[in-house]
Order: sequence, then C-alpha cells, then structure tokens
Amino acid sequence: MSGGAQVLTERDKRRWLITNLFTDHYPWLKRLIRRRSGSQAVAEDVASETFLHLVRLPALEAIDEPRALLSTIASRILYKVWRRRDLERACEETLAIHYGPQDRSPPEEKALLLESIRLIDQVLASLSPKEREIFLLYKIERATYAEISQQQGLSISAVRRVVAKGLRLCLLVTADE
Amino acid sequence: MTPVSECTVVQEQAVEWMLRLREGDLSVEERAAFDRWHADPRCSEVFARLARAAGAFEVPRRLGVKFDDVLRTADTRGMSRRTAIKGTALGVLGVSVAAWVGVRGIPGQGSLRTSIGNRETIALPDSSQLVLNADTSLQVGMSGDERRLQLTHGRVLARVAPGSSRPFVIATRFGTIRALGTVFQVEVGSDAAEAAVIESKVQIRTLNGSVGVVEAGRRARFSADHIGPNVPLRQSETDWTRGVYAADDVPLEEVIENLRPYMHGAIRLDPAVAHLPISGVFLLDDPLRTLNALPQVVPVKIEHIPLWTTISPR
Repeated sequence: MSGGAQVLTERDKRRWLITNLFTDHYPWLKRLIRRRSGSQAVAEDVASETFLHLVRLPALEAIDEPRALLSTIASRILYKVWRRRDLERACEETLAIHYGPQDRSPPEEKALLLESIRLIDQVLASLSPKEREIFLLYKIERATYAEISQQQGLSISAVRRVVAKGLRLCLLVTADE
Repeated sequence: MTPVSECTVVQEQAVEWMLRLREGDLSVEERAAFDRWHADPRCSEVFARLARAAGAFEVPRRLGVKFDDVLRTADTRGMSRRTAIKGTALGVLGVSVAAWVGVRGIPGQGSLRTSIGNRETIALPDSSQLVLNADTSLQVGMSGDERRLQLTHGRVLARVAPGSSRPFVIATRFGTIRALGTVFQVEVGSDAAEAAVIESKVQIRTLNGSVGVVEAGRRARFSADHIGPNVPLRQSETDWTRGVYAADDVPLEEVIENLRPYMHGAIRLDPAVAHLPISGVFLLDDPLRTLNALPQVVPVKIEHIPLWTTISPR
C-alpha cells in the first residue's frame, strides 16, 4: 500500500491539531460556559460535546478564530441542552395536570410524549410561521391540499411543497440521533 | 436549530411516497413501483423512520395533551431563565422574549413578543408601562437621551412615566409617534398605522416627513407619506387592555380583526358578510364563544374546526 504512509501522516497531523486546540482552548471554553450557565456540570458536558463537534469538522487547519467558532458551537449546544430540559419540564407539568401532582403518569407515556414533543419542536423551529400553519393543518387537522390552498390563498403545488419540506425535516431531525 | 444538511435521494423518495400514499388513488403500476422501492432494506428503513417521525405529531393528542400547550410552557421557562441570566431590568413574565439582541448588561433592550391569545402588561425600566395586545411584537431600546420602541406588529398601549425629559418614541414602519408624559395607543397594520391619544398629546412624523399633532380624545391613521384626519376615539378604545371588545355598529370585518390576535389558526371571512354591521360586547379571551354567538344576531353561519374557522352567509 503505497498511499498508506501518506494517510497516516494526514491523520497524525489532524490529531496533533486537535490536541493543540484542546489544550489551548478547552479550559477557556469551560469557564465561558460556566459563566453563561452558572453550572459546572453543564459546562463540562457542553464543552466536551463542543469539541466532539469540532473534531468532526473538515479542514481543521483552516480555522482562523478557533475561540469564535467554539463559542458559536457551544451556544448552539447550550441552547439545545436548555431547550431539552425546558421541554422535559413542560411535559412533566402538562402530565401533572392530567394525573395530579403526585405524578401517577405511566413512565412510558412520559417518555413517548417527550420524544414526540422534541421532534415536533425541532421540525416547527425550522419552518416559517406560515409553513408551520400549513404543515399543522395537514398533519394535525388532516386537511387536504385543496382545503389548505383555499384557506391560505396558495396554489395546491405550493401547499404540497411546504408539506414535503415538513416531512423532509422529520427525516433530518431524526437523522442525527 | 435549522438542520443545514440536505436530504439524500432515498430520503427524498421516501417523502414523495409518503405524500403519494396519503393522496391516495395510486394506480396499480404506482402501487407496484412502491412495493419494489420498499423491498430495498435501505429504503424501507428510511420510510419506517419517516413514518415514525411524522406519526409523532399525533402522539400528544393521543395522550390527551395539546402539543402547543407544552411548547408554550417550555417557551415561558426559557424566557424566565434568559431573563434571570441576563439580569435585565425588564419585568416580563409570561411574555416570550424572542431575541435579546445586544443585551450585554444594558437594561431595557430587547424584543418583546406576545403569542396568540396572550395580552401582557410590561413595566419598562423608567417605570413607563406597556400593554401589549395578543400577537404583538416590539423592540425596546432605552438609551440615555431617548426611550424608543419599534412596533413591528400588533397594538400597544403606552402609559408614559412622567417627569423624564427623555423623549418617548414609538416607531413604526410608516413613521414615528413622539410623546412626553401621556397615555396613547399605537396599532400597526399592513398599509398604515394608527395613533390614538387618551391623555395629553402626541406628534406624528411620517417616514417621508409629514408632521401632525393628535390631541387627547382623538385618533389618526397615517401611512409613510400621509396623515389622515383627526377623528374622535372609539367609545371603547382601550377596553381590549381589560380583555373586552365592545363593537358599536361596526362592520363584521373589523370585529374579526380585533378577535384575530386571540384566535389560533386562520379565520376565513366571506366577503359577502364582511360589511354586516355588528353591535355587542365580546370577551377577547373566549373568542370562540363570541363567534358562535354571531349567528343569533346576523345571518351568518360559522364552521369551526380547530385552527380553522369559516364565516359565510347563511
């Protein structure tokens, strides 16, 4: 294998880059997140997940401002962590209304609700308000294209395009789990 | 977060088949084509994932839960946490704070947004008070020499704190309204804005430089280049801040416009009935009851399914 040595050097170079990025910026990043979140545990988790994202990026050597990039990735992850927790609490609160404060809801029901709410939240977040309305009419109200098109003043093909976009998002948000 | 990735060919095909299957009336050939496609394990795997994910939208209702209730609760949590973290001086509760642009410790800066069906009263750092109608959004910018709000959508009533020499300005895309110690209301629509003055007076300056004054007890509509005549306030101009809308012989169209911020989903009003005169007192927080009462007073019929209401001639 003549190319083997070459591949190995590339990989070594990458590993060296990652090690450097880690030692130069990891403590800084952890401090930054702890300041923002007020929690040491969250800071540890988010900082390590940020580096996991970073090492998956191609062309590490082309990064000019590693701290700006790290802080952007970290905010996105922090938002996700928070959103997840907010959704979880909101699910618990909503179920508590149904089952009483002692929370006698079956655990599998809670898990199922949380999973579906998370997915709905992610899909809707990637749609515009108008698209959201169209997709919900289709999904929740089971309206036909014709009904939605009449109601929204759009062509049937435009409605179909929005529904397709929503379904595509369903696939995309479940892809990275 | 917006997924930036694109769908693969198989994913696109799965979406297309999902659509076709619900559209129904598949020909024998199409059905056979689907079976052939689905026989490939890579395809059936993606299709199953899509079916499961799309099915998630029906799960909350099956469990007797409204998904938008849960999302709203989660939004409120996120909002109160962000407020706490940024240590901002805005005393907002229950308002979803969309984006804290450039907050960085300067109190009194940020975006306020109310959702459908939720009015909110907000105290500004200078102790001025705002009442936001449901479905309203505005940006707050408090600086040393000016208190400035940008109303992008909806309606707001401002009770301006007296005793400050800093001008209080509400900007809209049609022009600005400037006040010093006064109570007034601004509504922005798609083609014009309206300023209604309850106490003292305000100055309107349109985008293209026309200037006019509106005195207490009057209101005026303005566009980017024109200020309409000063007309008397409606009898119940600020009743909405107490959750009431009183219509006194106004077109049905206008009644619906006032209820719209309180209705989830869409309302389709048949043009044939849009101008029917309506009188009555409506509870904004229970718009459905209001609508359902309409057929008793005017010849309309109301068809209502969740997220979708049609009002047409009877």
